[in-house]
Amino acid sequence: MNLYELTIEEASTQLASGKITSLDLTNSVLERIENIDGKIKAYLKVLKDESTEQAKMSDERRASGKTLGPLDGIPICLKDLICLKGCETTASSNILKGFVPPYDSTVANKLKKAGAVIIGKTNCDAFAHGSSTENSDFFVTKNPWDLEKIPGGSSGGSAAATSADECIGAIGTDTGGSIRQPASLCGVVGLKPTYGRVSRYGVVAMASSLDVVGPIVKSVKDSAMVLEAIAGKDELDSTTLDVEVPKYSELIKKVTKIRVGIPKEYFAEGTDKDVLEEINKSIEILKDAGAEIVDISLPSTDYAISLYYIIQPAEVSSNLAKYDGIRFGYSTLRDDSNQTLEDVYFNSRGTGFGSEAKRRIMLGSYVLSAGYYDAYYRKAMKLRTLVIKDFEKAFEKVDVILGPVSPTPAFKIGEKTDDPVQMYLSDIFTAPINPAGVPAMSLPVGFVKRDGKDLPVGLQLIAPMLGEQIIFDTAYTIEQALNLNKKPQL
Amino acid sequence: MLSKDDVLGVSKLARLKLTDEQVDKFKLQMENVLELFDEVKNINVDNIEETSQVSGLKNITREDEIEYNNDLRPDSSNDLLANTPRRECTKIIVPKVIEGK
Repeated sequence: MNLYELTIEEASTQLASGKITSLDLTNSVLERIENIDGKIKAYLKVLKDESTEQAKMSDERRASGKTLGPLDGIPICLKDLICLKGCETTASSNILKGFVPPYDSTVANKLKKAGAVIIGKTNCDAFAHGSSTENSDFFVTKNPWDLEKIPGGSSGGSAAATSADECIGAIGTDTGGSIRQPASLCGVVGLKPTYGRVSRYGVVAMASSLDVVGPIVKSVKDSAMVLEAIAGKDELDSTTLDVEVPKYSELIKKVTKIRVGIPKEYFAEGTDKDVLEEINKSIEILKDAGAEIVDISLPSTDYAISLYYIIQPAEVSSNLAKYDGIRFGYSTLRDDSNQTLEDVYFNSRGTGFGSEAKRRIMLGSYVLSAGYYDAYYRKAMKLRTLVIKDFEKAFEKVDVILGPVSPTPAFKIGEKTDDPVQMYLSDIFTAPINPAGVPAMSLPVGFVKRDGKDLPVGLQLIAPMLGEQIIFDTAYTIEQALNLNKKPQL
Repeated sequence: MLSKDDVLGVSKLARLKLTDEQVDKFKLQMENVLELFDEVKNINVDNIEETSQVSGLKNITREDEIEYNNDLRPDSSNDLLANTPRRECTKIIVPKVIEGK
């Protein structure tokens, strides 16, 4: 087995026993990136020198008995929304090209303090606007299982890098499925934590009432290990919850008598039959483990995508207002000082933002504008209450909800780029979760054959607020029973 | 349905310079997206409260004091301003907004 194939848990054990060094592991990952990233294009930037240096420091710490914990020496990549001090952070957008953050995000800082080796920055849809990584202003990332297909998005680079073993673990962000959908389409484990569980300080904002940061990794245990390291109250992000972070990875155990809710709306027409077949196999596994399967209904699923695509662009238009060409980012002022203030705004934003960012700013400005605010935005905020109530009601009867992540396996590059509505509908099962704030995971559970290639299928597990442990336990039960060990052929 | 003027009006609100081609394209695409929203029109939300966020937190405040020991703050105003398009020392230069001498 090549070192780059290891999970965090495996690598951590081998590091602890002295079987490998962080430098061995980091070099193996760097070599892997060099060999295959030309095909995958997951990385915007590989921090070769910096990560080598960090790996050596990790090995020195270990040699002197000062190791920092289970993530010490583990190569991890960051979605390019996450600020890393001194390292260009663009959110895959032209308007932030050349932006070098003068500080670390809390998540980068926590990973560094846990000893993790930051290996690079990964591609995504610009400002996380998208479900395919085709909206990156720089280039398209490919799905490692079929290079003609999209890796999902917006954290497509992080998911593809994890799937192709170009890292040991990755960090992504999720506003309406941006961790779970690419994890599903690339066959890796993606966790959207509870809203407020992980600090967003230093993370480029998309829609602030929905955004969360979470791990994209190769196993359920790894997911728990990373969440433990990055979660917690942060005084620099006042939306973080002041709730103690459990030792999820040590507490993980197989489930027996739990109540698993199956929402009929997630299994309705419109979801690929082959995808559902793979999902159903996992339901059987849980049944065999002793779980009670309960039919439930989440009626808001039918309109949740609409309210999501009202609230989210509204918040996007507000968050992206800060890109004004005056303080940082792309600016026409750099080349021409003889412009009016309005010119600087209109020209910098007109040139700097890509099509999807513009589309969302336009939509958001429209639903917030006088005359439309009540019909769209205020209405969506009320519908959001109904979505929350739907989940609350469901969780009176069940401990965890199970369904597909994406209605289809990975689609072809270019297939939906000209049709925003079709692209938006690929978020139909992931987008309702963020307005409710509850945690959800995408777990790889099988494959479907498309165009002669195996494409991964992800199962979604949804829990009540702060119910990450039940997700880990349920996912772990399925993962251990399935024991999938297929890797993409690269 | 949207008119071209609606689209131009929104682009002004959003401070976005659009080409004619973009205006036409966005008009069509925004219409399609707004059509998707039609399904929410008939849902009754009388007496339903609005939710703007779900953390359950409100009014998080702190003393108005400068913290010098936080390692996540930029090291200096110079570092913070390094990304600024036009500046003089620690001042950001903006185009003149008030006309006259």
